[in-house]
Amino acid sequence: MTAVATSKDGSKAEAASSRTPIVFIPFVLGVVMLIGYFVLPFINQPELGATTIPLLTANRDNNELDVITNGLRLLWLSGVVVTALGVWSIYEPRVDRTVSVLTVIGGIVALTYYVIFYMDYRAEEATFFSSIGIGFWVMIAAAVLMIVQVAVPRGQPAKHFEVQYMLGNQETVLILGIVALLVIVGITNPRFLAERNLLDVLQGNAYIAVAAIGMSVVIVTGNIDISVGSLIGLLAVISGRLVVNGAPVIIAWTLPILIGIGVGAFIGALVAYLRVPSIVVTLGMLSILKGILIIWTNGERVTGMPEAFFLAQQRYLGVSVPIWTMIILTILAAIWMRYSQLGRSLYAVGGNAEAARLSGISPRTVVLQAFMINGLFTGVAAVLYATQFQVIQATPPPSLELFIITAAVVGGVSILGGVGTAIGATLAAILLNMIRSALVFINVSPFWIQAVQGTLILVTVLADLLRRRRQRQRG
Amino acid sequence: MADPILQLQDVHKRFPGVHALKGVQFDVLPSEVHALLGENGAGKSTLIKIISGVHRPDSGEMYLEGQQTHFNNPREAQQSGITTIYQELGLYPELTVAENIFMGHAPKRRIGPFEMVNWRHMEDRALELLAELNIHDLDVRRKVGTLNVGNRQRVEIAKALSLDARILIMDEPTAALTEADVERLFNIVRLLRERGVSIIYISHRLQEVFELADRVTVLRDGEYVGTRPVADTTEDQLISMMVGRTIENLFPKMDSEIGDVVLEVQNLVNEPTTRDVSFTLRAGEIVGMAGLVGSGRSETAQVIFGMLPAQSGTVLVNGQPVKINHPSDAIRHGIAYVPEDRSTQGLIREMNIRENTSMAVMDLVTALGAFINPGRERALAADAIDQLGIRAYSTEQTANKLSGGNQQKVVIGKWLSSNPRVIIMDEPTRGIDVGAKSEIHRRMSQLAAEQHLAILMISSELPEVMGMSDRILVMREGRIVAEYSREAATQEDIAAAMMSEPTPQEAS
Repeated sequence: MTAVATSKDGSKAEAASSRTPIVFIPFVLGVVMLIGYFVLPFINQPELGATTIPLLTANRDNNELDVITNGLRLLWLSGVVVTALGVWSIYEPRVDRTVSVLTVIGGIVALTYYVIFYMDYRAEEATFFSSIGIGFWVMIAAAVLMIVQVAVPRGQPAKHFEVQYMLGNQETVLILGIVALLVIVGITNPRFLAERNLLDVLQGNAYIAVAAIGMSVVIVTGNIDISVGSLIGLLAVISGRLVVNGAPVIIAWTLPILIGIGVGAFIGALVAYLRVPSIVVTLGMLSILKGILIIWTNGERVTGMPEAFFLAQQRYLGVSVPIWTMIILTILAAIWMRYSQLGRSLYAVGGNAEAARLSGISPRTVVLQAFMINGLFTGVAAVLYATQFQVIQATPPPSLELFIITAAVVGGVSILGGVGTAIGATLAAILLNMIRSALVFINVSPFWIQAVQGTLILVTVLADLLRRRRQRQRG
Repeated sequence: MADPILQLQDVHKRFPGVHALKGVQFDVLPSEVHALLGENGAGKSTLIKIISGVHRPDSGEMYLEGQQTHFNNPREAQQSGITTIYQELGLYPELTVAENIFMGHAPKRRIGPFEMVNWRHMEDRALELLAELNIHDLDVRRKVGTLNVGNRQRVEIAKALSLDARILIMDEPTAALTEADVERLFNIVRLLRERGVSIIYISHRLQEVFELADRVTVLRDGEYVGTRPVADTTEDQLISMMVGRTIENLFPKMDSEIGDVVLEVQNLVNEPTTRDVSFTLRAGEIVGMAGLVGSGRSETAQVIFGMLPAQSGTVLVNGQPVKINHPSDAIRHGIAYVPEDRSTQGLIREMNIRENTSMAVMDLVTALGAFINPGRERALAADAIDQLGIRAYSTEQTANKLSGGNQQKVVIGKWLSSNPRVIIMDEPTRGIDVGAKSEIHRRMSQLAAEQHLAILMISSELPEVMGMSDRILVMREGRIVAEYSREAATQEDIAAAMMSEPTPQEAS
């Protein structure tokens, strides 16, 4: 039964009957953006005209002036897009009104900053992101939330290949995000699009993507593993120490993977058979593993590995091993999760453990296996991480587990279990790392990645909850 | 006769697909215990939810002490002195007795600029309240989680008193109590009545109604049947007022050739819900299992299906004793169980029809050792859609986008895919629309008649039990208390067996 429209939604329900063709919205926005992008800075700052039209300036120095104007252009651009989206969404019945208002406010804030910065710029003290702060992130968050709301197919069942259906897939949204990022940052700084840079982004990210796939498997069953970061760090050091102490390279590559599976089995057994919540078990493991790592390494880096050890630096067909691994494992995991019995059982247990049990599936075994698979992927990720540089740090990158969980969640894995794919996790890992790299290219401190990450995770989780709530109401 | 403290007139309430109350009237006098009777689905719960402000009536009036009123939420009802004690007790197990009693309205005192909870005063008041109920053995500093059900209920009643309740609604208060606790509860109820509190008392146990109530009102199918002073009525009269429901579009049962015993249950025990249960199921036979909610029907089915452990007893399939420790064992032996609650036990809502249908038979659709063949799955799901008349645009439709009736059909389809010899259906048509109901009945009838399935149908709707079953079992308090053949059964007999002490009417 469709819920009776409340008075608040009354006007929206009417608007729904004459549905706006979504396709025209980006088109109109595009025109508006182009006008603003090329014309306005020119009018405001005639003396900057030459540098503000990047398509006409083939050979530019990435000087400070440029960065500021580029940043401002980005601000202007997104401000217009988001304000327009917000205004449009007020008449779009699929978007919560709160989100619409939030979006409009965010957009207006961005535009206001744009004006202020132009005035500030004359005082030659303007820094782009330093004072923009919350407004910008509110804007981005609201816009993403709204896009997801619109994208989720509702009402009439959508067919494959229809815009609505495609947008309902987190994968499509992520690909669009990646493309949008490439275009926007590419316009601002074409060097971002250099093949070298893109390959670097993919390569540096590969081990995170691999770990994120394993994390997806665990989260799909309705559990979580927050100890992966420490485990990767520990396994990497084990791998390095093994080879430094004379073990064959093959052992140094495979033993950490086996240990990873073992640790996964241990965690899985505690979660599945002793019914300890996974967040508690893995919180404990996080500390234990980190403790072992620090005591054992004494904070010293591992160096002096032989040349043959650096698996991640080897290339096949011009593409490095980590990228190959990421691609192959993503495809295998995607097929496995979708078509294998165990893969199906993961979703069943995460979706409704009781119904799965009644159907003859043993939720305990499935959870145990999910953690072991996560251990396997963590082990592979650790080997890729260990073999990428000449030294292995005594501690893993800070908040690595958070990055991996973010990738899984942003990739569309529902924190409530039962939903998510390997491809989504990989795409999200790529998107996150690309944003990190992009921040450097638009001359913003890469530390902003933390804020981006936080925003994305909140937005995705909120969108997921909203989506479920709507489905509940209808069902 | 005194003026009623609460009066409802011509109350109607519709839910999507159900006309739950059709012009019901009800009144409560000061200082009376007024029992509300009716089968499951008769509209009792809806009525008390309207009185306690959970639902708003679609039409009709409510008068509180002669003043027309309506409540927008339970809090408003509470402020007007109407408090409800539901079956699932609404207490906080980690808080103490006193804290629970005064949850939301704790006595305060000022310390400087701060308003603080006055703990000593709160505990004193709690003791007083309990003393007023003749309860002297309850430590107000104990955590409620450590109390037994009877004591928790007393805390709930004290809480209601602390809110100055004038009307107390008790929904099946004795369902989970031991006999000693029931007696104490009755004493408290009588004490409250003496103190001028009116009590609306819902129970399925007729003896309790006669022991406790002053008047009784009977509902049936959402309609008002009548109100009688308890002194002027008999059990038989009440039962005949309650039964006689009709179900529209009940599919006529097909004649079926009844074959050999397929499932035999001997002396199955899982205290306290399954006590020495024995019965047989034959191929081609539909056996209806009647009983009140809480009589142990579902739990017995769950023991057979391996969801709950059996403490003792044997299950025989085709004459062979089998060991069933997990639902997968039951499935292997050809037993299927369509659970009572499709959303928490039956369906995986995020999955589509195809994935749900093959859930119990993944081995059947698996090729190459471990990989699921979506083509075979789709065929299976298409079959289920076809056979059960599931309204869906394709096998790929997500389960939570289906209506309740179609979701239930998907669950049934899932279990039929496992090619069972025995299928246990727990409330197969509860809460679904009339059309889907009749389609499920048609399919059940076909399965028994044409495919010689043995079907055990647990149902709280007597007309369904009467209409579909070849044989009828009645459970009460964990035991099978009566058995009737299709011809010998009457609604009155079954209802009597469900609700009162055993009457010597064992037939068949």
